Amino acid sequence: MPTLLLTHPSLASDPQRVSQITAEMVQPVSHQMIDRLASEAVSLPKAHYTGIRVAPSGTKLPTAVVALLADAIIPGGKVEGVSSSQNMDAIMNGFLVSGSDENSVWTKPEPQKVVLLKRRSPAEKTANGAVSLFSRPNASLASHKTPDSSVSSPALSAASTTSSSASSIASPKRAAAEPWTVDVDDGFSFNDVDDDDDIIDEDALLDGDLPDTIKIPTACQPSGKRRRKACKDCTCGLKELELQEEERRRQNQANVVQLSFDDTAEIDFTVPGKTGSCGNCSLGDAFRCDGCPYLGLPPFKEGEMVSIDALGNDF
Amino acid sequence: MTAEHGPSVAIVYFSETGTAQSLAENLCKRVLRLRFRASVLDADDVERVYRLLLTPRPAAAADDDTDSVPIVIFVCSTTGNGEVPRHARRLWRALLRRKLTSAACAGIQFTTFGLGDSAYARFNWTAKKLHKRMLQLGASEFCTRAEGDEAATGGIEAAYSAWASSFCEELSRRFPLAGGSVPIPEDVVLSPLMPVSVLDDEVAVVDEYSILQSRTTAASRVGTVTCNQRITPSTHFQDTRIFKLSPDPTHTFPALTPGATLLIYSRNNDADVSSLIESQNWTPVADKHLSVPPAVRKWATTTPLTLRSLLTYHLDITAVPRATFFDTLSFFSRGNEQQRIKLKEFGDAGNEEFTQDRYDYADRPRRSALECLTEFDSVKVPVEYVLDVFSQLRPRQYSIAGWTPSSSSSPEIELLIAIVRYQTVLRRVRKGVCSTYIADLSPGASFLYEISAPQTTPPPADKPVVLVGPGTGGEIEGAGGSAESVLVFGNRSRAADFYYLEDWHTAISPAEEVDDAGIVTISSSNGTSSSPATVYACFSRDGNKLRYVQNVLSRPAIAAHVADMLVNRGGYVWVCGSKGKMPRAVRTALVEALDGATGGNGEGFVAELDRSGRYLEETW
Repeated sequence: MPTLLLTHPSLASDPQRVSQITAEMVQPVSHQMIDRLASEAVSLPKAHYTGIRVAPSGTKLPTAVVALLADAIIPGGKVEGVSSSQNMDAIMNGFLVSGSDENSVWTKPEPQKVVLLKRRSPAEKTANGAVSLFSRPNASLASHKTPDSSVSSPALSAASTTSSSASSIASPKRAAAEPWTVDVDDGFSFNDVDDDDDIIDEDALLDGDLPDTIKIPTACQPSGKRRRKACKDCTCGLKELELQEEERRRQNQANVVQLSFDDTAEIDFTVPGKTGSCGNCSLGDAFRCDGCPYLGLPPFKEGEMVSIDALGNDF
Repeated sequence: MTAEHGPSVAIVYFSETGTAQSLAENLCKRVLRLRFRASVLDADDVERVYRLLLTPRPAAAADDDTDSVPIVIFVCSTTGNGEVPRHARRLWRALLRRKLTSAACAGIQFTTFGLGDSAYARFNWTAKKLHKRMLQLGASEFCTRAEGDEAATGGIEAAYSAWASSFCEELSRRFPLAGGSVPIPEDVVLSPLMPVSVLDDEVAVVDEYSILQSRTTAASRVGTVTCNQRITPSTHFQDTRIFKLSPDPTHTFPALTPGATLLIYSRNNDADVSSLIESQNWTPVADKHLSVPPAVRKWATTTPLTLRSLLTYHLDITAVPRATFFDTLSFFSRGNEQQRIKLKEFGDAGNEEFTQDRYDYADRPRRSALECLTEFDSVKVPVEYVLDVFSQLRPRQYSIAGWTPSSSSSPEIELLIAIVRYQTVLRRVRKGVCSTYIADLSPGASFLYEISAPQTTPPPADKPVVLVGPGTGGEIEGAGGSAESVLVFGNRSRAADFYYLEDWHTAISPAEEVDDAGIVTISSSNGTSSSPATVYACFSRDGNKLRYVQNVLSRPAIAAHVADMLVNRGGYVWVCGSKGKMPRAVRTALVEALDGATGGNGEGFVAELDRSGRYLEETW
């Protein structure tokens, strides 16, 4: 029953401590270092260890290593000495988390028998027929409730390992509290899109009632003052108008570059202290006004001339 | 900081272009601020998501809202013609398995947010189907779902903002923070969602070809360019190439069928990457070994992985950034309050005025993330946040125009690629990142590609087919079958970009007719081809009155021809090319064209074609 001891490199200088910890574990014990695992210098065999221990206790592991441990440990195996601040990483890698903040334990789950969860009652309709935004959970055990048929949650037959026709959706059955077994890794090949597994007709999912959606609150409807943008494949002519506007701007820019040689008070930035009336022209397009002749040019320091070379040779 | 409370929240995205992913990450941050444990998962991470959804959990305790039942939010795009995004197909297929019981997902609570476009008939089909299926599998609905609509005012982001706010309110209401603790304030930066860390070792320099090899996965392989030739005249503004490659000899893939596409993985140029590294003060760590989360390692496959190679091959530093980019940057602006405030404003996707400003600044001129960072020079991003700032550099998809049979001794695949290059108000020319990369590949060069099967099965060879393929979309060579085929083609200029004109003259007929509206017809009734074939072509900038494929379809003689094939002879329609307006305009044109032959029921007939699988679209 091999186990794994995973240590922080600082423990390498304390072989006595390492032997002490190793002696406490179930033999045989393999020993690896966290940083070597992280840099892919070593790899771990899959589904091999019955238990894993991290030392010193509470050491934070790189997220990549959490995933590697999930693959290396057998179902039912436990990882101890971990930091509870990483419980989320553990959950995302399929571990069940238990223990306290100081003594967190991650367990790789096995297929297990469970009892049905309580079912929540579906969204209730308000008086005028609109669907309220969120389902209200019902306090009483819902195992014998028949869902409101106007918001259909169609259920397949609970014992559907037989090939009942899935395109006809069975009427909702009583959710009996009988245990069932779900084998999460039931031999399904995740890599093979075209495997032989029988699948239902997905378009049939759109038959009948669809679950309700929320309506966007009117507060978020734009006022209409917004300037409409042209679509990428515009066929109505707005794109042409936008292009004309840009062409005008570009011509303005050409004038600007010339004018910096002239002594035109309003826009000659080569004269220290002179600024445009808004003062923003040098800051870049993010701050420039709508008609600014410098639109399209990069930011610059006042007193410098805008250097076109800086933009590269793409003209 | 108070320990996290409440059930764990997992946000799974079904993303095609990265929009759903970006919203998922935004939602995750909102939930983290409420002090819940939250995490983002790609649907492509099939095993992990599958386990999350199907792991049975112990029965709930006496109270209603148990902490131990995770909440799973699906942020779910619909792509193409009602399709599930490519990377989510495996997971979706797994969830459709008939043997899953009605309690398979009883261990979670969930809801969905859909991203779609109501201009399409199959609006938000993926989100709708997913939501229904999860209910079938016994998951409980945490709160009502929502559908975002590209075509609505405010677009998808408006719907998302509204829904995310109400979702967070509900979350807080059901699981209120205890003991006087409050949400993490908006001005406190969160830890990175996808942290990277620099390992303290130097990395050996590796040659370009080895790097290419290290990037391969089961699906992506190294191919060699055999031809990269411009076919439009140099006077024409559009640079279009015939691009041919020989695939990796060890690559076995299913036989190619019309509609298959090739994905090409590009890269950023060294100068841009270096300038980014310098501007962020990353130079001391840029060439050391980089550790990334395992979900990221699946696509950031370059070995050895350094910050430099991550930026070069895997991050889209020249993409036009979304609001969330500016929001993240605002936390790292130092010493320039004006810039910091502006970044915060650009990052506020819920505010209409700021959204318009951001659109004017970034979207309209197509300003790249790199250019934005250069202008906002007070920003210094810590290395750990690099994956939170930049989105993934995705491969670009190209329609496969032709191929040699797999039995051939030197198999070749042929594409028609338009090099993207245009001007906006910005002085520097805009370039498509992938087509620019391709433009510079000489014969003999190696690159990374992937073959993607068509989303739909092509029409059977014995049925007539009407192909509509404007631009570079629809070049499907070799009718081959015995039935009649008609190609409706459109482009800008006959002289410049009537692609495959020579091939049509050889295969169909050396003769052509041009009618008074400038529409060109090449028909086998005048020629030698064994199976009847016709090409109708129009050119929008040749001074013709009728300019687009939809106009071609409305010409009486052509409409009658098409109607005969579809109504009387069980024909198929196949539309190829860019998604968006084109397929919709074509559909409208077909409806009108068929009104005559169907006694005014063009709409109903086309709908019936769609339903019976005789109306196919390959668009992207």
